[in-house]
Amino acid sequence: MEILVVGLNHKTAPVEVRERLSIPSHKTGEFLRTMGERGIFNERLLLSTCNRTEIYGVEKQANGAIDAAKRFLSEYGRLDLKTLEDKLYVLRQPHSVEHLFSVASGLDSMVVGETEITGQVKDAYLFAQKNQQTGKVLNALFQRSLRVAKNLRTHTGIGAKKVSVASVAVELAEKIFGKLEKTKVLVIGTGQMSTQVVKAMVARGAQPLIVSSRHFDRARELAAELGGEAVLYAHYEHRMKDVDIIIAATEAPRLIIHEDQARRWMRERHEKPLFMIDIAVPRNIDTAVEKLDNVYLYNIDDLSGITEKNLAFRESQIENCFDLVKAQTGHYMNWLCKEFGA
Amino acid sequence: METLTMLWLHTGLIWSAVLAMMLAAMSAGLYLVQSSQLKSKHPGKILLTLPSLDRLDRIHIQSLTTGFVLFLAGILSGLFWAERKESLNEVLKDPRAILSLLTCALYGVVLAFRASALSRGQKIAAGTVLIFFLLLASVFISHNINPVIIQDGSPTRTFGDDNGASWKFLS
Repeated sequence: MEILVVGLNHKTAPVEVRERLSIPSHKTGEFLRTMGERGIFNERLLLSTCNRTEIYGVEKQANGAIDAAKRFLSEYGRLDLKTLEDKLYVLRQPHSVEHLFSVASGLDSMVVGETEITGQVKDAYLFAQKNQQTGKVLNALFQRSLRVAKNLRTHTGIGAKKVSVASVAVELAEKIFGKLEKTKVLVIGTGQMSTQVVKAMVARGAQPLIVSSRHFDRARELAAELGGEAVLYAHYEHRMKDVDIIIAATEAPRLIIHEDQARRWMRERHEKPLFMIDIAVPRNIDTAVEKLDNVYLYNIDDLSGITEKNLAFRESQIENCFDLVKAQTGHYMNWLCKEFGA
Repeated sequence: METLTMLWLHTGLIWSAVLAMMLAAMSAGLYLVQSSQLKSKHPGKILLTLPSLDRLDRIHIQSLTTGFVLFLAGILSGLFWAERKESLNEVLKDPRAILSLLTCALYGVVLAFRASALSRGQKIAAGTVLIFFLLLASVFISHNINPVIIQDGSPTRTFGDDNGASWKFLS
């Protein structure tokens, strides 16, 4: 009896292949049932995210099961088996166990230490368990993997710092205003990056005001989606009295916020702190505004600089994390030996 | 006995005010550190450890207001006591009293600026820290300059006395 992993991820396969084997949650049940009907693995579980598709299985006849799993994936994705095999990895225990612990802890993720994957592993496990696809071995393995992920987060710095521009912006805003529930965030421009940042802030309770000069319909749509208000470009200055955070992200080839303007706003706002985020290139906010008291200006390079520093810190924790993962793999393998004599 | 109670009240109020002002100065100092970290755009470990600017500002202003009220009450109780001893004029010439009044007035100015929203944030925090040094100087002088000694309602200046006396009460 052996624990096996057959799969691919962002390191082994390009997006064109990954998208063919990306299995949406509503098809997971059918996918696992079909595998069961074909006798592929005694216990089985599917983990499918945007960056990976992995089948975890338990089987006595490992080689035959691995070949069957590969054929099944090739058939599902309508991909040539030989082409697919180059992108697939097959891991046998204890490497398969170590791999799962690393995946669940975010050590194998594109953004090292991200937490979303832990939730995805948990969901995949609960789904397979509910559909009676797992047994004693995979139940114990996945439950332990979630404990390992939690353990790593507690005892190392792997998840300590934010590594996306949006989350860094939110963290800075919280360092200025505390909770964002009473803050108003004004977004000038409706590009992808500004949308990400404002969504992250709204998720923390901020009230959005969306401004757009060229795409007012899109501003209205975004405002409706986020539960905020769309404001015409010509009118946004009248709202500055109530605004705490400005995100400037227009395609304008010139400055749209000048020092004298910001100085006037600060007087109108009774000098309350103002957080300005300029994620436009070329920049939209005059750098002279950062000299004003209680104004905190960050441009895209400032935010990226922080994320890179934080990512470097996370990467410095990886060695320590792998040591813990290896130790936990050893504990699990000991348990497996005692239970099954494997 | 009534005079002694008044003295205890005065001393208690002044020391409570000093403690509140100490808290205000500490939170104002931390506000300045946090603010400069945010301005530097290279936030370090300190940024993650300290509370938000908003929280520090609230602690700062609440303790400053409390300290100011206690300080004012302390000064008024002292003046009231001196007036009852018919030595108000002399006490008002005491450098400690003058410094205390000046400190209290400066705290009042800082609070007025903050309350009227003419200024806030870094400038107010810096003001609180600076005035706290004045308050410390005031406390230091209080312990190193002999005060007015009141004897049967007849005040006598005692600068240069070697008796190390603080307040003396003779009924």
